[in-house]
Amino acid sequence: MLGTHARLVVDVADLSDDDDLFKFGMTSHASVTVMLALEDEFGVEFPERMLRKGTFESIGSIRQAITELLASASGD
Amino acid sequence: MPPGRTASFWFGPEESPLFGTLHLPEAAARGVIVLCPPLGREYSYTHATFLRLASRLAELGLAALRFDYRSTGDSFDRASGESDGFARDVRTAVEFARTLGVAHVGIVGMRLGANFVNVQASPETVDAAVLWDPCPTGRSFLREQRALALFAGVRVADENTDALDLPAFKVSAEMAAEITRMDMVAGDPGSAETGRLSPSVLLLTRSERASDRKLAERFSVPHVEWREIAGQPELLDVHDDWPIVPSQGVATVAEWLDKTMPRTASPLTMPPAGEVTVMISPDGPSSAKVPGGARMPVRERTVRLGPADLFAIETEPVTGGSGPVCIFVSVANEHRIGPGRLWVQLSRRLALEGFRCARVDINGFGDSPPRDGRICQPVHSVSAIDDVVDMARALSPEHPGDVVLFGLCSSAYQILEAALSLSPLGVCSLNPLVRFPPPEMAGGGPVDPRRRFCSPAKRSPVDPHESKVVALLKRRLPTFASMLAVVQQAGLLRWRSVKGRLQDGPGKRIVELAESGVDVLLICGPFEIRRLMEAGMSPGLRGDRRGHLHLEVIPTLDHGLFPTKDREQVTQLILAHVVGQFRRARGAAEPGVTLSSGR
Repeated sequence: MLGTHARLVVDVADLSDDDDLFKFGMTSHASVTVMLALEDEFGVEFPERMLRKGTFESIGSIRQAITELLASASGD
Repeated sequence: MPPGRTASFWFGPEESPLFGTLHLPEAAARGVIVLCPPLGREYSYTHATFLRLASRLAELGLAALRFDYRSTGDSFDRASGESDGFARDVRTAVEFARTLGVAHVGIVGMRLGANFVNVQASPETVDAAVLWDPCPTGRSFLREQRALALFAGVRVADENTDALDLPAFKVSAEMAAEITRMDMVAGDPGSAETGRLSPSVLLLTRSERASDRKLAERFSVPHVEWREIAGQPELLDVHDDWPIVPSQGVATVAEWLDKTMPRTASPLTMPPAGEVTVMISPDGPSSAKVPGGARMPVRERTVRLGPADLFAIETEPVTGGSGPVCIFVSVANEHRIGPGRLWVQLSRRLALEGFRCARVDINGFGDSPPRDGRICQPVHSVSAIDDVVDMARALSPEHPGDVVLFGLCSSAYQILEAALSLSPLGVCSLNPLVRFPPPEMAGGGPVDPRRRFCSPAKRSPVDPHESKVVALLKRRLPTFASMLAVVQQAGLLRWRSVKGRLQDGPGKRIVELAESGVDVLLICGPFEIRRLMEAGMSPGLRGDRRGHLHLEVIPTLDHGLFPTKDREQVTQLILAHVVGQFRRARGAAEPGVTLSSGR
């Protein structure tokens, strides 16, 4: 999904979980596109408190956010 | 800057008319194409694209009507309580097009404009419709814009109501509800989809967006032709960059309409004159409240100014203005409405206070043609300074100094430069951009000597503002240059003051401008005031010490005034200042006849 929407200048496979996606070419607009695609894919919605650059700055932070949203959606 | 013939005017409901510009073919017209723009920042980004498309259509024998929805652009504000205002405005524009004497009408909508087109329920079909990069859902648009604001660090209001604070656009609860209802993926079929709108529909989507494929599947019906289009990210996804007109997209739409619209032509009825009188309320959405709050009439008209044929809209009381002319200069590469329509709101509000106002496009932007024929004009071109001087001369020919100049960012800089030759009564400079690379340096040339308030971002071989001693030290002693940067970053005001004396920069010149008698209202955020301090403005300067310099530093002010609260705060400051400093009793002598005290 990042490969399609994040407009990175490197291959996603070459990135570690902690690499800063914004340093590798992701723009604010691209991160919003990623957000909307994630919502579509996982059937979740990012609440306003998560609408900040930090949520989307790395693969790890995105994974953590999705995990949290899925957990709250399933009532855990 | 449209080549060919254009006419600008207001049309539609008397109490809140829409602003439109008609691009006319050389001879009879094959029809009128109604162009429906996006909303919010996307509206500003696409202004030049719609203008380019309209010009191209006129070349093909198709008249094109650009227009602003009510509560956007130069249109008047719609009343609260309307549940389908945008769709109604599209319908109004189509009905107006039919009054122009042509037999055929087409329609183009981009982004939310396409969504508005899709919900049209006019009894008559149009000949052709283009849905250009529509939003899959209105809700996704609102969330996307809101997220963009938050990601960019723009302070947007907490949402305790159904209204939404998007970057440079306040969406009322009614607007938000109307937009949210629009769902082209899972909602009820719209008229473009069912064929009730037109027998010929072109759907243009982006290849890189997953939701657009769903749109294409949904619109997979015989009367809809679907194509993927390039150039939309470069046009719209440009928060930190300039939007680029999608030439391929413009050509695709124009060619398709040329092919689809009938070829029979008929003479066009000329639209009404570009003047309107409207009753407006001083306690409108973005204006300050005044006692009484009754609706009062203001008159607006379109004019062309000076040798460069600059496009302007004048606003004044129906009885005529009585103070200096308030001139609002377009910002950066955008057209004359100002950030979040601040220039529109201030013009109308000041007209209620008795002032004659004008909001003007600098050459090469908005509806003003470029002075040198170049379509892509540099934002910081020196010719923009000439524009401001020409505006004052055209609007106040007897006494060009009897004006108050308003600008933000690049135009806040331009008005300062123009003030040197004009000696205006006042300047209101909001977040002036004084540190940038002048375009004349791009070819290795020196900074234009007319630039007195510019601190070049990239040093040219000849930098007129840097002290020779500082320049020499920086060249010979790299350590000195590094230390200078560290000290500046550390925010040591005392050093800035010392540096200000060393560097005869724009900050110092602003002080000199005020000392010369020009009333200077400077409204800055933290970034901009730091730049001015670095450029020679002493800290702690206040109006009470310098007489004509009024410095307002707002610690949270956004550079582009994107948050609604910032625009409201600036509105209050400007209204209080302009009314307090410049309101002149009707019949009072004009300056030049007898100068007011202090000049």
